[in-house]
Amino acid sequence: MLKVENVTKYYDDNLAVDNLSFTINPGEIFGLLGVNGAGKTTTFRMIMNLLTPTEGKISLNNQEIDYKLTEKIGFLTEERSLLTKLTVKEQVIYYATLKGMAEENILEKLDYWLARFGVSEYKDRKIKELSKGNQQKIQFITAIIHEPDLLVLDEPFTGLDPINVELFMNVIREFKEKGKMILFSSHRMEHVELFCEKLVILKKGKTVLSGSLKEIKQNYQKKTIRINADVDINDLKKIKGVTEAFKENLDIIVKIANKEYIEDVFKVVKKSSNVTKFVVEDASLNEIFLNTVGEEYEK
Amino acid sequence: MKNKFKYLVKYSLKKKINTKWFKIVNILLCLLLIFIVNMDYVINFFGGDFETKEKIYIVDNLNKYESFKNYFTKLTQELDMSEYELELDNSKLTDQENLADDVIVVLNSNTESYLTSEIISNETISRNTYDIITNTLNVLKNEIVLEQSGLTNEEITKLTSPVEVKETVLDSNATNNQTKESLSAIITTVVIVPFFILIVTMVQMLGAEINDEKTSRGMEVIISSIPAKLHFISKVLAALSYVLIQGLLLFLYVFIGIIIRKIFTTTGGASADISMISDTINMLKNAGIFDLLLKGGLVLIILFIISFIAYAIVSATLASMTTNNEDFQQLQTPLMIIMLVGYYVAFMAVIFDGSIFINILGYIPLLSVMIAPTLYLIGEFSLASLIGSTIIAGIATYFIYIYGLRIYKVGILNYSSTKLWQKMFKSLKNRR
Repeated sequence: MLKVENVTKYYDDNLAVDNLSFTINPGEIFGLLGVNGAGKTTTFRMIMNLLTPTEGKISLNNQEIDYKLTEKIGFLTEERSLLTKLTVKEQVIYYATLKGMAEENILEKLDYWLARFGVSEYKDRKIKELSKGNQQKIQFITAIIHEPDLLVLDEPFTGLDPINVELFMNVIREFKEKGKMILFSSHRMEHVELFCEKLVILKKGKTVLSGSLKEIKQNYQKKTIRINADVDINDLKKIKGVTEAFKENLDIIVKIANKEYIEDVFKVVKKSSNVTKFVVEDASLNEIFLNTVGEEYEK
Repeated sequence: MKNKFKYLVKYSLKKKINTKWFKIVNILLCLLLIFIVNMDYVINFFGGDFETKEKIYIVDNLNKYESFKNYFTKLTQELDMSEYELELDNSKLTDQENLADDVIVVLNSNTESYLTSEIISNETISRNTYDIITNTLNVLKNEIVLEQSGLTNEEITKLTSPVEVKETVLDSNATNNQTKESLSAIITTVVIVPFFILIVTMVQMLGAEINDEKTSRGMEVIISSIPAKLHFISKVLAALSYVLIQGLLLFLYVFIGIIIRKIFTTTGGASADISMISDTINMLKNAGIFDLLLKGGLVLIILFIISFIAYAIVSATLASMTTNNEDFQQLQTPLMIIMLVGYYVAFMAVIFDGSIFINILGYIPLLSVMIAPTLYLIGEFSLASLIGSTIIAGIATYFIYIYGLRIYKVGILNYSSTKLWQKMFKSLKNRR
């Protein structure tokens, strides 16, 4: 179990992370979200033992993080962490040895993972000769080859096409099924929604939202109604509690302040003809994020 | 952690020596050093103008050709210059068109100055040739003047014979000053120049390697797996191992060159001999260099190793502060200048014999590695002074390590140049 308890980090007088707490249990995928400068990287660095918290404690399996424990963590940085002059094989051996693996074991597992990601032919090629997507695959392999207890993934899908995103997702799900903990950060809210059971949203180092995704969505008052009917949008806009109404492809999207106004909207729609759709949806994570943080997520 | 450290040292060293370029460069170095050691053989093998003797025709209007020839030959033998051939040819003045590279010296009688001469050549003759001819003419003139002075032959012989000089050196341990200059050239060539080259290579390699890991976020993965301290030491140790291996290889190449030279000599495959090497060895022996090496060799090796470590620490620290190779190149310039100062001062140590300033510089860490050995081998530093210089270098290196590590720990994970110096100075106070 990863336990982040009341962690605060100052850089001189600048507060980077303020009293952050969360727990990741085995088999859980946890999302750490926030815009630039929210404190995500600082948090990752503290978990990886690269920075010491000014206050608070970080422990993995009830032991405070140290160099013995970081062997049990796989780290995928947002920016490239590969040494481009090395070959794929040399690179993986380098990082995996630093994670405490023996070379024979590394080579055995490397062949498996290279085949799994469809990049076996690049084993002896230099990293710099690989495409961005393939480099991301190698970087991912370096993070998972030692089968860590905790996987810290900062933007794991960068530079990947949808097929490879799916491939990565499957591997991450396998790790979850094996009882591994996954700490995950992504700009793509649909990925976070697909994956994370629990999350924390940071704003300028402070926690503005935390809990399970299900609870967060349920507790979020604003709802979206998707309608397909011959109804005048202006009539919908006039309803009390409707904050927004617009056309999106064939549907009309109506945003309401809370679920109490569903019935009022339904009454208006009911009067119109050709009603084929009336679906009430929870707000998307992206919407929740925008409303909570008050600004657009970093692109 | 021990295994990881070993792996890091091995990895870093392998990256330096297990490359195509290391092999290619070493093949070139080997060939180059063998060539340098056997350069005279190679030059002789290819031949050239130097093989044909410069011909000097004498137009003798004085009937003094034999005397001229005697004085000329004696002079060229003293100067070890045997590339001349003299020939008496009084008709040469009328045949100047076919002179080519040859020279005509005309000896004329003169009632006032006894002897006048004219030197005729197609192109300006070399300074050496001119000096030999004019010196011969001056001696010949003395002979003519003395002959006409009415002195007996015995008196003339006594007058022209060289003054006998007896040289007495009171200090039996004193180094022969006449050999010092040659000695300095040998020390700087054999010890200082390779050391200088090795340090420059090491500084460049170390900086490039650390920057390479730092420019990507690879450093975060590495430092999250192994403490910055071990990473720092592993880089320094790998750099030290590299220079020691490369240094030994350079000596091996010279040794191969000497063996090849010896084979040439014993099989008579070339005209040159090994007198140059045996002369050098004799000179070093006479100057007491081997005795000095026997006494201070170990201290010198320790001084070299300590100084290599000091340079590696400084280089690694500077590299950790920078975020790209260009910045590192600029930041390491002062280090290069320090090395250059050491290099030139080591050269000057012989010229400014007994200079207090140079002796003081012999104790300054980073400079001492080039100056102290030179001072010791030319007899300006005693063994105690050399040990003192080594101890100071050792203490300084320890402090360079302590403070270098503090900077390294912060610098290695710093990707911004904003307030860089402020951060680095602050890190010096950080004992963690």
